[in-house]
Amino acid sequence: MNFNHLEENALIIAIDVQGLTKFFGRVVAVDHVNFSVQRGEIVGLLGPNGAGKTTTLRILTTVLRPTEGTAKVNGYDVLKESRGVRESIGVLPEDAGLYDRLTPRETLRYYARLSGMKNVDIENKIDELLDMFELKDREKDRVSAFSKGMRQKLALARALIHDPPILFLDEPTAGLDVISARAIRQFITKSTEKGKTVLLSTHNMVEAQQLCGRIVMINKGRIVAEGTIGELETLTKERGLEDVFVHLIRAE
Amino acid sequence: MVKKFLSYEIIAIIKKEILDASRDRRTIFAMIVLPMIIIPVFTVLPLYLVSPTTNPSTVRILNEDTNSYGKNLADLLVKTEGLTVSSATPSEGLNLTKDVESGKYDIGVHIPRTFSTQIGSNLTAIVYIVYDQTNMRSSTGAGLVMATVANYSQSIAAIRLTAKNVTSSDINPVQVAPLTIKAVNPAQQMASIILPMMIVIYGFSGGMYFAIDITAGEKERKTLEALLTMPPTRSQIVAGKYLALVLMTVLSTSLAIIGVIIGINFETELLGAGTFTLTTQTLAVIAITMLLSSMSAGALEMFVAIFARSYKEAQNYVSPLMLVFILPIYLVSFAPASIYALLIPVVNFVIILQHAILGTLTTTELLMGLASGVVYIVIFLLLAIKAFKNEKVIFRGT
Repeated sequence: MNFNHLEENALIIAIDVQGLTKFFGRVVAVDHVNFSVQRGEIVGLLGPNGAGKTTTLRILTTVLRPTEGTAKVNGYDVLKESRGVRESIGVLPEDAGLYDRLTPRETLRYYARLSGMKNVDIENKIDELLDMFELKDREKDRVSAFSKGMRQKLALARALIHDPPILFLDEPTAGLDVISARAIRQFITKSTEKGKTVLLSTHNMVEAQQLCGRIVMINKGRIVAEGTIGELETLTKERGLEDVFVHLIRAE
Repeated sequence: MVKKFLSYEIIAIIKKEILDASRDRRTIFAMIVLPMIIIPVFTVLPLYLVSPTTNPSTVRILNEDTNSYGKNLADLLVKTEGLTVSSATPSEGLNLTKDVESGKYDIGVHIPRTFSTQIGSNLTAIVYIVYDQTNMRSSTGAGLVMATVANYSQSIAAIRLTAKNVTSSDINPVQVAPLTIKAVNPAQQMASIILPMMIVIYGFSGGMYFAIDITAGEKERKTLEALLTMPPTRSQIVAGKYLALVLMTVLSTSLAIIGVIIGINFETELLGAGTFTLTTQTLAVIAITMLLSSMSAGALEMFVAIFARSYKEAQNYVSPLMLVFILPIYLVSFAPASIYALLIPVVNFVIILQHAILGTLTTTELLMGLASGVVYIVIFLLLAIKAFKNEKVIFRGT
């Protein structure tokens, strides 16, 4: 990955969000949100339904345009340098969004080509990912025949095909069985060992407690608290992330 | 320049969309099976079934006249092409109406006992023909029987007139001598009506399912969001999808056109009206017009379908647009010919195609029609790109 474009603080900060605001008509979905994520960190974006998590992720992944404020991902501005952002990220949206009529290999090959990977590298990378997510023996089957767990693994493999430094994961284990969820959590942990940055949106407090070094708590489009789990426990005088969450949301 | 425009992202999208569509039964049926099999079969089959050459009508003749006039008419009917005649004698006690009603014969012909006597007395003799107007083969056969009887009647009239010293100029004081500037055979005439209609309609309907699948279908399956997070720009995504759509539509329309040409030639041959062939120049004009027609229909379909949240909703939006394509075709037939008609979308393509097939297309018409076609394509495509960039459209209802 080329870091030549980066300003000095972007060498440390992977995601930098300043005053980010998004209106849908008169409804404010994200309201002057500020936070940052350092390189190699796993940060959890937590909040109840409709809090603005998915909208925030969609802005950071350049799918939506912010109404106000700025956001930089890997040093690229989401509005002015959106292509640079998209080249730096791997995204697992809330819905896996896979093409049912393609096989896993065809799926990964498509996204690899869209990412501009060279043909010689594509098949090796696909083999590596299919092995990693235990999908090799199903590589000739169409995705329509896949279980939810397999689909989620394939969607994650898709996010990783071009080896991006930053991952945005929206509810990565929602609806998965224990084994599949565990495999995905293990993978997320391993990713940060390889220097990847992860912004994780989840409802699963156990998962967030297990994976995230830091938590950004969001409600009604605004950040209500931010810090390590220990810091949030001290702030709320509660034990465990679930109680911290309930405390902060009720306090709103 | 082409290589620069066709970036690796656009090529990847084209390949994927075509691969994906090739596995969708609905798309394959609409784009390949329908034009290749169903269109030619439905164009040819009805006529094949009623054609006198391939399927002659059966005639039962009851000749009660024992003299020569009745026998001569019966002989002429036996010799008439397209009829299979069987004769019956009065002793068989036949009921022709019943025979036709039951479908045993297509036509019944009754020559009464007094037939020769009345002709011989310079009176009008009657021949009774029983047929079923609701049955195509019976009606076609009855037409052939009536034509033979009319010819026979004329030959007797000629004899009567000669006997009275009346010449043919006495009864035909004025005659028409037609002189056509451009000779067009019936097959060519038929092609000039059917082909433009098929090219324009198929350019629209052939790609309709594909256009919906790659826009609203992608939204419904929730695959669009993942695609939007990939490096290609929205314009590149639209370009890739659009080019895949145009390629598939041109393929589909070409298959339909080949099917229709075979159908028209087969039909007109059955009717004894000859066949038609297209010159290289006409074929080139048809190919260019077909491409532009598919391009404008595709861009319009993509623009409209992207507003829908689901495949079904998109069908509700796109299907009525078909009328927009069909209506101008009728306008061309009824409205007075004007050079400005070439500025109207769809009408421009229909006029170019009609005139090219009839061999009357001028360079001005061709250039004007194609130029206006390109302008509409650009407008529709820009609208589609704008819609694709509009998050209110892309995330409508989510």
